[in-house]
Formats: sequence, C-alpha cells, structure tokens
Amino acid sequence: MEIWEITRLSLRVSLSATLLAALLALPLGVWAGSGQRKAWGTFFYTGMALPPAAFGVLVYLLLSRSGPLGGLDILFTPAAMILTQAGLAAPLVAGFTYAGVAARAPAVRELVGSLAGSPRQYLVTLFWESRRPVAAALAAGFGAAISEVGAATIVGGDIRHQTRVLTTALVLETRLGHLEMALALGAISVGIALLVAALLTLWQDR
Amino acid sequence: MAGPLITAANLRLTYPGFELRVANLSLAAGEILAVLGPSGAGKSTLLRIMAGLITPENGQVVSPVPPLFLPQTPVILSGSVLTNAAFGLRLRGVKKRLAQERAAVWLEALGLAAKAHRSAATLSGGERRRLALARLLACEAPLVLLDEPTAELDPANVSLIEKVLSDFRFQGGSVVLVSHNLFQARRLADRCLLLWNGEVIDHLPTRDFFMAPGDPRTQAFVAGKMIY
Repeated sequence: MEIWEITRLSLRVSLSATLLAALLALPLGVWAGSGQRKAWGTFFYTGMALPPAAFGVLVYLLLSRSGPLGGLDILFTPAAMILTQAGLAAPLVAGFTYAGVAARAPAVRELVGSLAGSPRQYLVTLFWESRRPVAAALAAGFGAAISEVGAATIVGGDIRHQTRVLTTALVLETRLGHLEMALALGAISVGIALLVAALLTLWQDR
Repeated sequence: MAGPLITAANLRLTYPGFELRVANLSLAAGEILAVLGPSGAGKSTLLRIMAGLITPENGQVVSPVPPLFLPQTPVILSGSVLTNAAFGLRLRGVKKRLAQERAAVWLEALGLAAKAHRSAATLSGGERRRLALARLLACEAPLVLLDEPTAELDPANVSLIEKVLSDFRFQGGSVVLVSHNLFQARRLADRCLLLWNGEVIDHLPTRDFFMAPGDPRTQAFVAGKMIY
C-alpha cells in the first residue's frame, strides 16, 4: 500500500537526517558547552529560528543544475531531502546539547579535576551526565525533520513513489479533500514521534 | 615515602580586593594539617591551588602524587550511591565490579552501606558529603585535601568522619583539612595554620597553636574573639 511506502520513506529520510545532524551537531554542541563558548551558543540559537522554507530555497539553489552543487544531481531525490532536513535539525541538536552541557560543565569539571581525572574523562563524564538534554536535543532534531513540509516540498518536489513523505502527502490529501487519509497520515506521524521519544527516554534513564 | 607529599612555595593569587600569599607549606606522609581562619580568608582558594584546580599567578605546588580534593559542596553524579562511590576508581581504570567492591567498603565505613543501591539524588546534604568522602578515600590516594568535610553533619557523623580520617592518617595517609571547627582541628591535626585575609598568620604544631600562639590574632582566634 502506498501509505506504508510513504511511511517508510519518511522514516528513512528523517532518521537519516537526524543521524547526519547528530554526527555534526552533537560533538559541536558538547565542545561549545564544555568550554562555555557563548558565541557558539548564540550561533546555534540563531540557527534554531531559521525559516525552513527559506532554507529549502537556499538548498534548492545550491543543488539546482546551475548551482554550485548541481553536479551532484540530487535535487528532487530523498538525498536532497535528507540534506535539507539535516540542515534544519542540526541547530536544534547543537543548541539543546550546548545548553545542557554548559549547565553541567562546571560541576563535572570540578569533580573530575578534584579526582585527578584527564580532560578526556571530563568530556566522557560530561556527555554521559548530559544525556537527558542530549536526548531532548535528538528528539527536537527528529521532530523538526519528520514534521517539516515546506523545505521538503521545495527540494523533494513531492513526487509520488519517489519523494512523497508523510507531511507532503498530508498536505496533498487535505487539498484533495481526503480528510480521513490526512488524519491517518497525521496519526502515523505522531505514532512515529511517540516511538522515537520512548526510545530516547529509555536511553536517558539508563 | 621519603620527603614531603606536597610542597607549596611562594604562592600568590589576587582577586579584586583580595590577595592570597603563602610563602612555604609542606606536608609529610601521615600528617594532618588544619587550615583555619575566618570566612573569606582564602582557605578554600589555597586548597584549590594545592589541588591544581586554580593556577596561581606566582609560585608553584609540587607533589609526587596527584592530591585528591573534596570541595565544600560535593558534586554528585546521576546513578546510584554505589556508582558514585566507585567513580574515582573507575577514572583510574579499575573494572566496574572491583571498583564497586572497593567502594562498598568505604560506604560501610561511612555509614552509607544500607543506601548503596539508592539513587544518589535522594541523599540528604550530609549524606552527600559522606558519599563524596567515600568516593575520595576509595581511590586510596596518599594525600587528600578536604574542604570542610564535616559541615552540616550531626555530631555522630562528625565523630564517624573524624575516626575515618584518624584511621586514614595512621595508615600513612596525609590530609589538609579546612575547618571552622577549632575542636576538630585540635583533635585531628598535627599542625595548624591560620589564614587571615589571604595571609598566613601562624603555622605551628597543634599544641603550640592552641596553647602558645605567637601572634595576637591567633590568640584572639582560638579564644573566639577575633574581629572579622
């Protein structure tokens, strides 16, 4: 059924985007937070307010044939959607991680220092002690990715069987007056968000 | 171990309106030094410099072993009491099970064995202080720097900690102890040092410090008459 195809693609795109964002933004957030680098915090918080559609247009221009990354030939593919959603999720992941880590950093630095621990041990301990805000950061990043519609439409094109995801399909079905289908798509989105949040909660409470 | 466990020389650190100056300070194995003085005298700052947590503007601290430090407000990590107690050993690469076995001995000594598997977040202020001390002593470091380890504790737990520190000393451990409790300093310390406004006023064997202090400010301090 098409609805499962759409759900699978949504999951693939959003999870890949969150993973990509986390690979870049988590270490950056930990680095900035552990050193109390406030200018980076301001930078992340500014990125959180980035209008998704405007960012979508920017990625569209970069990936279009005449753009600097046109050679990649990925516009209107899931890869373009992953890149865009990762770009939107990254400031959220970095910002929440920064805030959580920065709040805990002085205490953990003192503890590890007072027990003659190494800088590496400080970072490892700090990351583990900040796992709740890190889980919140990942949840926010995933939430931004899976709920995004404007940028996904711009760079993905909402092409049936290729780049149609839950949110773009939901908009389409609403416009066509298929409100039951639109509601079903919305419920699936919420269900996925609930599942991811539950997994993150299990991890943070370990 | 031959020679002093820690030596501090020509230390100087300034903050606006405050200057800490310590010309010479050393501690041998099996010694307890009490650092006394009114609030704001620089006791905690001196301890933090000795622990390597603050870099002085001048002078140096030399220690053949890294001293471990117990701050006034101990930091407690998430997880159980036992996990917290074993944390210092885990930093030293001790395997989890062995670290927890060794830490459990110190929890027992400090009256926390019954709470070993509770969340550390549920402990009271005094219990957190005992847990932090257990975590420190479990590392079996020869030198520990303690910033008011018995503050906020009831008399029974003060006695318990003093006994643990006495035992630690008799096993060759050395302690620099910041305290506001003159009786405790008298009971535990081999030497006492009075800091006032960042300056070392007196540094004497405990008996002399209390019975025959050289400086009138020390006389006033031990008599409880010092004007801050």
